[in-house]
Amino acid sequence: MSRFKNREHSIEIISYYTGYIVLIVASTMIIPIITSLLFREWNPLLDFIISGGISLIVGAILIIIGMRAKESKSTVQWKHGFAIAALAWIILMILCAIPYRLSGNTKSFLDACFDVMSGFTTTGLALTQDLDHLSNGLNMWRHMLTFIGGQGMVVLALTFLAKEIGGAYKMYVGEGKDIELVPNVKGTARHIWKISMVYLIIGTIALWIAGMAIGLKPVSALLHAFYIFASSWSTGGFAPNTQNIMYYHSVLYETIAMVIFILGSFNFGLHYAIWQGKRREIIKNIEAQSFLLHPL
Amino acid sequence: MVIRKSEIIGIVAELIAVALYIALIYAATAIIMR
Repeated sequence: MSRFKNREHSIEIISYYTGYIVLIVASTMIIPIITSLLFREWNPLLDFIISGGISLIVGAILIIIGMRAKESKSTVQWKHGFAIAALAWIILMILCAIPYRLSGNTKSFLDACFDVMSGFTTTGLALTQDLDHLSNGLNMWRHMLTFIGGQGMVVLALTFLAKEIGGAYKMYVGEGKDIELVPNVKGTARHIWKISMVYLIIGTIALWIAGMAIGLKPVSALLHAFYIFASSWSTGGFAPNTQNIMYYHSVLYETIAMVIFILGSFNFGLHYAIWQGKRREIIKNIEAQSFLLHPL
Repeated sequence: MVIRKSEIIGIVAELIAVALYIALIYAATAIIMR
């Protein structure tokens, strides 16, 4: 009987935290919704509102199922942490694929799921049809997925924790991360996002200027700058055009993308150390050394 | 989100290091392809 109770309790813990991660990641759909609104793309706007609504309902149901675990202040064990990370990835794959399918740019829901997982894992393969004529909203969503995936969905969710919870580290490790910038996971997650956001601004501005220099219109150049930054920083391969980076035909644009690619491939621990004033780390770090030795 | 002065120096250091690295690769490629 107690074994059955234990199992039920585990399900509640997993459900609560999975719901929490789903809610946080699903709420980022607000960005493609705003993009669609700005560009007056009504069909994509509706797709994202429907998908966002479904995601919020799923997240809320999972949280309600696991509410008892929250109230009893149960501790998250290692097995829960792994299950939460794995479940969140699978559920989010399905939920994030809904706007792809509704847009009609994928041949099946499975293709849409493939594209989302390709984004989350920063693989960069795409099964989406007619890439050159995608709506700005969907393009924004594709590249946001690859950007979020680069940092990790659990990392994103942990950034919004009001206070440090005991099981945060177990969920964090469950997603395959083990780097500790500061002693607590919430702080580490926030630092990871801070580094990413600072480079997001620098990289997007650099690519925006380069985009305008090669003849793109300012608004289009800004969108392309964000898209290329998101894929480069996460070392993914998404691009808003079928020709990928070749579309721009510019050494400057490619060089900036390369700089972002290399910066993005560095460990967050290395970024953090350099930002903290340990500048010799860029020579001493094994990743940086192997980077330097490889072309030789 | 507060960005301190040491962090700005760190960002500039990283950018310079990576730019130099890419310049090195471009130079090496140019020499080899000549």
